[in-house]
Amino acid sequence: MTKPEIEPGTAGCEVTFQPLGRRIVVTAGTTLLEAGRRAGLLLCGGCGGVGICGRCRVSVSSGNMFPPDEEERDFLAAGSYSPGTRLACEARVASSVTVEAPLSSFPSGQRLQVEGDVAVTAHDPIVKAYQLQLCPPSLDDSRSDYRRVADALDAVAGHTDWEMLPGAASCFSSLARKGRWDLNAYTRRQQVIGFANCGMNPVGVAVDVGCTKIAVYLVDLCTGAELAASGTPNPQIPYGEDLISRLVYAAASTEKAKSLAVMVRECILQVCAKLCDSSHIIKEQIADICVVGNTAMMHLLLNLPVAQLLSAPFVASIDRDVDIPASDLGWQFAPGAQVHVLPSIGGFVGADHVAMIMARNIDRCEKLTVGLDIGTNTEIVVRDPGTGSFLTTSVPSGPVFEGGHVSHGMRAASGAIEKVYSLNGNLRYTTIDGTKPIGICGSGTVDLLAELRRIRCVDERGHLSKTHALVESGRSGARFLVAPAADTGHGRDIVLTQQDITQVQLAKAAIFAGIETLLQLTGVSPDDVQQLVVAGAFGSYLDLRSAVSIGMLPRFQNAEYLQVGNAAGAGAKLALVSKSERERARKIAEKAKRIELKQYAIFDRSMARATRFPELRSLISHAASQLPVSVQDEARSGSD
Amino acid sequence: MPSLEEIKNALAELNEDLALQLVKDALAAKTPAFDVLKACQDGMTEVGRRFECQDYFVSDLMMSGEIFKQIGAILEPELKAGEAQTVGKVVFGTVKGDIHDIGKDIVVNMLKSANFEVIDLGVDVPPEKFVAALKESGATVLGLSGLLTLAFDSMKATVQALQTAGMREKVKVMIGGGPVDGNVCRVVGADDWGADAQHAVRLAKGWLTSAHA
Repeated sequence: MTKPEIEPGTAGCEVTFQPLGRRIVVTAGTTLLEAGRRAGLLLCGGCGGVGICGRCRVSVSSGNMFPPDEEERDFLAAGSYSPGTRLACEARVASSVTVEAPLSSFPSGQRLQVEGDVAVTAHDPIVKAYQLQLCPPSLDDSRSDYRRVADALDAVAGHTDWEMLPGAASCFSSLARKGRWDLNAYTRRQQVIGFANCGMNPVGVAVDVGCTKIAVYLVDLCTGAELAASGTPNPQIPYGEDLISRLVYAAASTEKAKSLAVMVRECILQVCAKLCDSSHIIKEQIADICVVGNTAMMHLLLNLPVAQLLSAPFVASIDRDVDIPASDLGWQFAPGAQVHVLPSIGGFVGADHVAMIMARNIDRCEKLTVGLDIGTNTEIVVRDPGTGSFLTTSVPSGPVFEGGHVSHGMRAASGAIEKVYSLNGNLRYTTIDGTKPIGICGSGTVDLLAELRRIRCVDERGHLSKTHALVESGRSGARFLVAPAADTGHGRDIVLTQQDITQVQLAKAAIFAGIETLLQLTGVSPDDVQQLVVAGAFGSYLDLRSAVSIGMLPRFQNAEYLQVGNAAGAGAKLALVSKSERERARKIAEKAKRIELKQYAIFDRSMARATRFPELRSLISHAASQLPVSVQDEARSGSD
Repeated sequence: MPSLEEIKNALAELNEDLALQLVKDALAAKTPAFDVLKACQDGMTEVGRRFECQDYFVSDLMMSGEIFKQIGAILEPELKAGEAQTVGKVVFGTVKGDIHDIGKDIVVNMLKSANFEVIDLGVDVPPEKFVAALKESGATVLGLSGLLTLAFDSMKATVQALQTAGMREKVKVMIGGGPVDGNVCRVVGADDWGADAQHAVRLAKGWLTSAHA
């Protein structure tokens, strides 16, 4: 038996997909599924690449691949396939390779799920622009500025009775009296809210305020096209990593609450300014803003009272949608620019969840859908189109998946171990930016546990095997050596301790139990679920296969698993460009029912059970019996 | 007929299905419910021991608590007549402004399994509710749980409420939760603090047995 060791991944394998001829360069150890995804090909079978269905078969015609692991061999042994046949979701490249992957062979393999892949909506923005060609005033024509504009608008917009904001009047005058009498008038319903030179379309801003990250998108309101996008850390993080401690800070005094509000408003403003610069837009073009975020973040942004949010029964201040002038938030854009905050469902199930439901069509879809956005709080929705049952909840999954509560945990930043996989019983990892590791981020932690289970270094209860070569006993219990000091960026060992594993168990159990409880309350079985949608930044880096194998997500036999990126941001963009989508958001917030899990004993029971890790071989039990004992298996009998 | 030793071991090994089945079989075979309960309590004591040895972890305590809860539900109707003797009464809850209950539930379950009668007031419990529960039950031990630093103020307010009600001398107060330590204990004015569930059980045992002596 070779001594298991962890080796950093190496770079530079070119994967060629035939017959399409798509090429992509990836690091060694990348799965064909992931390589395909980056090349724009969705190579998954029925399950979405979670390792459940065994149908994502491709044929490797040249180059070296790492040998199949136990699970893959089991799947392949179950049928008689030609040599070179591999499962795209399991097979990892070892050199440059050529892969035969006819797309027709994939039951659901049409296209790539990219960030911002949204439901299609009728382009119907509230803010419209009208190009006006005005004559300068003269002795014969001494109409007021207002009358001059209103008359011109009557002619092009097809309705009368305009109202002009004083700020817009100033803006008009300063443009026109520089000689620009041909200009663009921005209107919101009957109101003239701003002016710009001809050709300068009104621009909308969609914002998703997350606990850790703020995403901002600029959208041309005339065409609906996205002009620019940017993400930035939430500047409130130093005042509380998770939303509860941040709310506690804000609840302490009105000054503190105000300071958090100002902080996030200024941050959004700065990002807008940066995006405007890069896309050659002036801030006076920004005419409409649509904001989503969880309940806590919306309260902090709008400086709403928060004390009542902190204790049971967690009552929101305002859960309806809010329209306020942008200037109220200190944002000087077009004179009449308004901020629209989407409604929330209740408790901590906020506007971001409404936006996610909207963007993924969960409220209209014909499939029984489970949707979740994983963060310090994980929001879950279950909708059954058959009965119309539409349940949501929020579980406190904690900061584990964002690097918190884990000894060497860190956010997904340069030097974080983001991916861990095993080859012949040896663990390997890759880091963000390929630098020496300095910590492990959430996706890496989930992968690591999945692999530790696979090499039988962690048992069902989460106990580290004390006989494993890389497990050492420290003063505070057992720990697994992920990367020795010599390999790390800071010259210290990177380890995963027994306590870290406990933290992951509690977090993943909360998510699993939340889903299980909602399914039970909906009155459906796991086999009825047809699609599972994972949204959010963390959700898009998470290896769903690892998430299923550690029991963070249930194993739905008949479901397709989708990773959809920032769906909340996508929903905010929808509401930005369409009046009817804002109406739809309101309906979602009314129809979806919030469940307080603490009221259900089944949640506690489910959570206690879900702290355990699923049995290793449950998914392939049918094939397992036919297999010889693996020679590359690092397991030691009795270590479980 | 399953032996009591088997029941104890099934619980200590956290074998949920087996433990529940053995308890049902034992009752069907007319084993006194009180003896079954005693065996389960012994099993939970073993779980606690393994936790202290770092053989078991928090998730194991949660699991044992859930199994014990279910066994309790099976035994309860049978126990009424026998009226088991408890070590003493403890009022317990997560203090006002805090809603964390995983740790609190574990301690409550460990106390119950150690034969305490626990009045669990839940989460976000205001001081006056603790005082009322102590008065009503006559309990002499109060356990306050909290994970947020905000909870320290509530703990302090609860101890002060006891003082105001003239009950401070009669009631021993222990506190616990993530960031709680000796320093917090002093600031809050509690009698002692527990680092984990086993520690809390020892404190309660110590107070209640010395009170009887």
